Amino acid sequence: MEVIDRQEALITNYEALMVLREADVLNEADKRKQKDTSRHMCPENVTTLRFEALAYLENTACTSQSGEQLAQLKEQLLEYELTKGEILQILNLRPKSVVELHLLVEDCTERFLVEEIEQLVGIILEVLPNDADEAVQHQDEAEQSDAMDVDN
Amino acid sequence: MFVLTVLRDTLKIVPEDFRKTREQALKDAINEKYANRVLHDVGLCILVHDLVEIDEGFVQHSEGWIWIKVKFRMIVFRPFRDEVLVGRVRSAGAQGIDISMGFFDDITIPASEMPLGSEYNGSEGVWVWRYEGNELYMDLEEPIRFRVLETKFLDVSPPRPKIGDVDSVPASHAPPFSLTCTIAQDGLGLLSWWE
Repeated sequence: MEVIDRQEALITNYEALMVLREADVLNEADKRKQKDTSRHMCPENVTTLRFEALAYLENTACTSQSGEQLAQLKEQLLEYELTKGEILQILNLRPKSVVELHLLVEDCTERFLVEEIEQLVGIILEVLPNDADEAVQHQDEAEQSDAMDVDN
Repeated sequence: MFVLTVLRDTLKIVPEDFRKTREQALKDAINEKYANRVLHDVGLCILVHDLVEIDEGFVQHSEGWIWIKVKFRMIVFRPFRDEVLVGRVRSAGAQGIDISMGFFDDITIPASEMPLGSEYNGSEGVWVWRYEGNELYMDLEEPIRFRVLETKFLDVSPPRPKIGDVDSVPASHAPPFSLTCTIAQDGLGLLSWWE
């Protein structure tokens, strides 16, 4: 056994979730194909890990994400100079407030103005919707459209 | 949280698995060998992501299975320093609290990294944070946000059973991969505190 590259790439929780779900689907299909289920023995370490990892990830923000959303968010975040690690954490944790964003972005107050930070939070909430937040989102959109009318 | 690690290894495919496609048989063999196991200095292996290179298989003259050398990418759980993660409080003690993420449990917050003004309540068995007159209890099973300070790898050999003592429970040994973390920062700690 040889480790060729210890860290070739960082991957998001979303990508890991996709692999886990695919493995789960394959496992179920295989179980059904095997009529004699006593012969189908998936090794214990694989089933335990798959079960626990899926249970954890299904409770995080990545369940409601899609490939297009991730690509869209990365594009919109290009103008803000964020490191790869910071973008990855934003995708995984989906910060909903300025406090949460301060945690993920180092030296936040030195690198960005207050408005830029609030803009960032807005972009994140818009591109990565979460079911629980849709009600709040509608409220925000209504407020924003009121503000635009006032400007006109 | 997750990284892709490129590994090369020689895997065994038994005749039972010849019904599968070569790729699927290899992936199953890789997962069987690596899933839920810690590789020293690499991390906790989750599942194989994809196969990069598959060499010709060979059969040893006295055996009935195929050995195939394969280069593949593995999804590995290995948070980087200063990464923020979410887990659940598993247990608490005077030395700090232990956090679990379900698939990974060896996460500790030492007493020195608890928020300023918190202390351990021995009678209830939980930590309490006294902040602005409020008493915020860190109950067990509560979701908690923490930041990774240090990842520690220990090269451990398997625990050796004591000869002659059949019923002995093996003593708990140091975990091969553990995280030391902090919650002493705004935004860290129980999720309910910052909602």
